Amino acid sequence: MPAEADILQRLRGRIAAIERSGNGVRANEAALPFDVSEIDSHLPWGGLATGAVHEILDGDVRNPTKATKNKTKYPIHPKFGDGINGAVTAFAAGLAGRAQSHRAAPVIWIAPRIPGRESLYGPGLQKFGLDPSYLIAVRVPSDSDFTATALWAMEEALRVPAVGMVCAEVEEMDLTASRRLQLAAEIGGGLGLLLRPAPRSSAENSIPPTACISRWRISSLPGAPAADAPWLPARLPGRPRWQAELLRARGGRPKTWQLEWKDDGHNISTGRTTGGFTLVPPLRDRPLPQEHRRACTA
Amino acid sequence: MPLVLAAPKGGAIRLAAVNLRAQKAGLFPGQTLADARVLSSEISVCDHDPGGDATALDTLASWCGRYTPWAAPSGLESGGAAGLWLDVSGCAHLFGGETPMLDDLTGRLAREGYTTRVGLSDTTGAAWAAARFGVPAKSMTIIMPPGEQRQALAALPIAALRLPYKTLDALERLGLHNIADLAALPRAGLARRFGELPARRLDQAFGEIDEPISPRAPAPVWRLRTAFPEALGHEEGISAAVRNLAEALCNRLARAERGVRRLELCLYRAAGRVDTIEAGTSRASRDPDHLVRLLEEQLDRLPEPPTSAPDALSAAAEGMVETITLTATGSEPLQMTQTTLSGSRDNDPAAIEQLVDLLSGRFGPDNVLRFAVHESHLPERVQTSMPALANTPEQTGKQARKPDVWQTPLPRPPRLLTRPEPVEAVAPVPDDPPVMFRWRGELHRITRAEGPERIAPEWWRAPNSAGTRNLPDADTRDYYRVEDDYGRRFWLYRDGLYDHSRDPNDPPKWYLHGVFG
Repeated sequence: MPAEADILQRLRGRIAAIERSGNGVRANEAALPFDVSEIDSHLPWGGLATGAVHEILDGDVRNPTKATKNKTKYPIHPKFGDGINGAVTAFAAGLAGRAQSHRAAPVIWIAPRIPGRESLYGPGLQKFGLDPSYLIAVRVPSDSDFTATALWAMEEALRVPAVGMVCAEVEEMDLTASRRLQLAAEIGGGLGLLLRPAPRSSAENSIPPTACISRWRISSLPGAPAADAPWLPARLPGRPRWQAELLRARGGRPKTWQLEWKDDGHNISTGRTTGGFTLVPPLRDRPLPQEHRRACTA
Repeated sequence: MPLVLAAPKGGAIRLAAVNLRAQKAGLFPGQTLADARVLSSEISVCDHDPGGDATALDTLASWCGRYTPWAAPSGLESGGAAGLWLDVSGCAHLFGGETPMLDDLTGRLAREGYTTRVGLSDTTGAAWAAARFGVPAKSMTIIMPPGEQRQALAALPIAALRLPYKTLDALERLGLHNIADLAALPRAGLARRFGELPARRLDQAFGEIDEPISPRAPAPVWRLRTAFPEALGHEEGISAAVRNLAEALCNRLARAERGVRRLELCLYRAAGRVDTIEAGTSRASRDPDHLVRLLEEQLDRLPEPPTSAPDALSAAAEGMVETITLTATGSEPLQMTQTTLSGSRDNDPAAIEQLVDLLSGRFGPDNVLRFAVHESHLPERVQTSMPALANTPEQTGKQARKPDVWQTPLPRPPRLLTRPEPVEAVAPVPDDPPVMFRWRGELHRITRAEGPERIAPEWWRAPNSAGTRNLPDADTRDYYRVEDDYGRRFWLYRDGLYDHSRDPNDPPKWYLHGVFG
């Protein structure tokens, strides 16, 4: 019965309208595609929805029992830990680069100010397509008001339509705060990413729910020699490779992918580095792709 | 009670200042404390604190900004006769005339516990003399009618001419006691005997030569002021007043085709305290909404002042705002701009700059940064950061963007440690990547590695002699990109080479410099 599908479609439209009823909301549903058809078709928005806030959790394995030693020697903040995660940074930089390739707009990156800690590094970010000249780094004092202050800054940045993307490194997050961010993102139309450090326990359920419309967990995966460059020695680290778990998506289902960053190099004429996410091909026996096959006949 | 301030000077403790009672007892500045104690046994002595005096006087001068922008502390060096200059030309009518203005001034200072003597005259010299040596009728205020300095000053002692003690002493010995006596002398002889100072002071007092006051801060052009008939306590009223001022200021700036780069808001509180809020903009602006936003953001976070009030009610009363001034301390030419018909603000660079202004106001300009490339081989020197607020419009313009300057074919991590951290590494000598390393207490087993990438020190910055080995960037580094068994990737380097000249007990150390994605 086609009428049922119609009714369902109409109801969905009405719910969507109720959900986005702030002032100045854009009518058109926009999304930032991964350009990986498996992911884009799985996500209800055909990519990461813009005008929305997404959560990215750090899923890398740490060894906290051993890390207690030498605590005072390094700039480990009691609340923010060592704060370093390359995988989440690179994943966010890749998304920011993709956003910039659609619209050249500034990216605001909000992080706690901890003396001696690592900083964003332009030459490395650039490899994921993020143009550092468009980056504005905001360092928020890491005092007791940190979370509130950082979220205030993120909210202000999200409200500005000219801002393409806002990343914020925060640990604590509750429903009310994330709702405010979501409303701000709907006004501005940009993309908000909450980069959250590794949860203390591995159980995903222990993280309180937020109003972010999707939650991801990104963890590093051991590299492998590039499938399309079999001549490289196996001992070399391959391309950046991550496990991207979609833990929650509004109107979608959880799923896990293995992603790689494929660097297509630098284009002299456009002055931009191109590259993109690709799926890691599943491991199985199969014939070599045609372009690498060489027949040897006597 | 006679009160004196004393300080050690010239091998003895001497009086620096005396109060009226002490003066009557025959004490004077410069006297030794021992002499003073002989003359008057009941004096109380306090330490002289010239720095504190200067600070207090400076605070008072800034407080006087409510009357005129031209206020300056005067003559602290002349010992005990320090005071404040106010150039009130054209200001008196704001307060209903000269007498009401001075009454207001003395009244407010009296409530703060200051006893004041005020002189008002055409010239600074005459006003100084009147305030210190004039004989007031009933209040402690003397207003000399315009053009009558010569007559008014005639009977005053020569000490009223701001002359050094030595000169005064010599003149006194010649029998010159009054200003009239001195003014009657021929100038040439006076100058030959005492230098040109007495003659200059006379001319200055009589208004024959000009004597400008140097104000504490350069008098700004773009300054607006609102005084409330009754002190305001509630925030809404204050923000409404700030908004009115900002709109008026923007209107004036628009007529001059200028925009604000730096803004200063002063709140003059009932307790005599002045709260100053400064805000900067990254591009000239005369958008009142934006300026008000910048100011209000800081206004909300003004620290609660220490108060001596006994209860909450009087503490609130002390915090009431009586006068507000808004000053554009920095401005730049700003042409009229045409907005698009649709009013769309997408991709509007001004919107980004307004955001930068807001964030810089909250976190300080040093914490809202843009990145730029610096030509260097050393990874940590390639990227420099600068306040986003300081950016000129040319730098943010698209044509100036050169994304390729960031381009490098070499592996570089998206996160770099500001200071490389030493790691305990196990590595085969001489040139192999580590097999494992311990960083921040966590052991990483390396499964894959790439390298080395050799980066030589910048010898033109730090010559690589024996003495500079301790410098952080004085040694050749071999960088490796490594991956541990969990797939986390790191950027390690070995600081220095294994060579024969090296002490075998001091092998090169390993450092972690960055984290890859």
